[in-house]
Amino acid sequence: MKTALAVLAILILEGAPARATLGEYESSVSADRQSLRGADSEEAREGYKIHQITAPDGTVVKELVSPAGMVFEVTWQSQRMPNLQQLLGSSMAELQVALQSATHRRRGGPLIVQTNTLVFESGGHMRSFHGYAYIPGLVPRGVSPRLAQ
Amino acid sequence: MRRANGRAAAYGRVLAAAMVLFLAGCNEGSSGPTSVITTSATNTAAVTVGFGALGPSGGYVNGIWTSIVVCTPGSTTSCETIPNVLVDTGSYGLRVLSSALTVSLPNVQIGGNALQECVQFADFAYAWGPVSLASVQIAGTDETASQVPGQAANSGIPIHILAASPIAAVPTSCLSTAPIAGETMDLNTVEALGGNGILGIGTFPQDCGACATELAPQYYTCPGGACSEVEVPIAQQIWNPVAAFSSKDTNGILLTLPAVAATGATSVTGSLIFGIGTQSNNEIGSTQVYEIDGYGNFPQLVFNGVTYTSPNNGSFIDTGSETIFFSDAASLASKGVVECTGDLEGLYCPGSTIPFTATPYGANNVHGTVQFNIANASALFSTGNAVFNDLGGDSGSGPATDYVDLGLPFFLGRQVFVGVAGSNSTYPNGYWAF
Repeated sequence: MKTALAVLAILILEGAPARATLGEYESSVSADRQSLRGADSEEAREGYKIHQITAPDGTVVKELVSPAGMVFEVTWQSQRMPNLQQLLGSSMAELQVALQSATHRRRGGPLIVQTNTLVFESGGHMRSFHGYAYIPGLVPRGVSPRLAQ
Repeated sequence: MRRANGRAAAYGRVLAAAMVLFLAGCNEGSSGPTSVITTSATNTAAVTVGFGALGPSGGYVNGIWTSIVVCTPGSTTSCETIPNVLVDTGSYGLRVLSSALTVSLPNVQIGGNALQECVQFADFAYAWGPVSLASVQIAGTDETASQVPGQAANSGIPIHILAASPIAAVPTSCLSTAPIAGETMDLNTVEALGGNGILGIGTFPQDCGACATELAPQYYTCPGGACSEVEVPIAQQIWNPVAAFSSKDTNGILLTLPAVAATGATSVTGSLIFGIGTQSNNEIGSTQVYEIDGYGNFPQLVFNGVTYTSPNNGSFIDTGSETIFFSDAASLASKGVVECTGDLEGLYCPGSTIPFTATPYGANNVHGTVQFNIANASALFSTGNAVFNDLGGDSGSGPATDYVDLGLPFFLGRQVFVGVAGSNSTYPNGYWAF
């Protein structure tokens, strides 16, 4: 019991476990909410569900969950770049590989990565950033990604 | 760095001379040399658009550069001129490479620890290092920011030092990716940054604002090397130097750049004039004013039948953007837009030059049109030129997430005013006028 409490305390102190979010089960949303110190509201849409996390600093993160309970898309809109290692979870590794093999970053421009298994876009300017990432294979049938505005 | 500074000083003189020539050109047929002298007011800095410090092999086009003078607060002798500083209307505050600094600057202290800042850009590049206090002068002008308004005289303004040797590793909460082989994300060298610093003179007076009352992955202290987020009062945040000038020219800027030919130019020089309506050379007159929203964007912009709405599709003007980033190649295919391949992927390479019109809206219920051409980026680069008014690229991959970033090409051949938020009660969030 003591060990469990200690682990719990560490999780709270550390803010969030590393495992979370895009491509994970819906339960991972709570880790993002903790990381962002935000409030989570849920909204049902046709064919999917949106968790909207609003952080005290104005950051708005939306996580789209399929009927199968998987986070298939994450969007963000914030004053500063959000913690993408947290939000993208294991998809970050794939993004890194894509960035390594083909990078076309231009000064002041967006970052756009499209592979068969990950679509990622990040744009905007200081104090107004926005972007999204989704996993095409997890998008529910009949749902258009990139619609959670 | 000393050698570089020496070269830059000579370069600055050439620029000043070139600027007079340019201004003389503008006044052709009017009142002659007398008006040129009048225009060379002490609120005017020379700017040059070109390859910048990296030269032609650096791959950085449409960079806009000026020089600044940084002094230890309260000193008029412990000063140095820093050339090749990017003039950036898309960011807020001065950021300088530690490797370009020779004068000693005190750190801002929060809770007895040296304040650190991390800012990340959309392409994952980041700037990390201490917040220091400096007196900041725009070279060749009388414009100096010696203290934040309301703070002790000559206490300096907070600037961001891009640390070659930070006191702690950049916090993971401000790091979008782990290191990627062959990709430089830390903007702490001339090679990575393209210059010696960034002069952020956009519409916000500080680079955060909300950090005064909310913890956020931006400002940190790192006692014992362990960094954690801290709240930072407005006066200790990084300040847009313009908003802290000792002169009356604190309400914004007027940037004037000459037009270039469709095939570009190797470099051009222009004027960065401080203040709006404060002197005879910065009257706004009948220029169309676009009030921006609280995010620093046009509330809406219509392009190619799509209405882009801030903030998720926030559209804006930005001298710090190399190209006009707008729409996406797939959406514009019917117009003849083709995306470039290879190293130029992300830029547009149409078979022939294509005209476009964007319609930005202001929060003050006005709208206007911006016309621009897009040429083949590969053909443009093959000219060896560095300044292009017709360079474009993707902002996204579909209308749902695209936006319009009117980058440096937009500013060529225009006079553009950037009004600082809070300086004009009619436009509380600031404005652009062109």
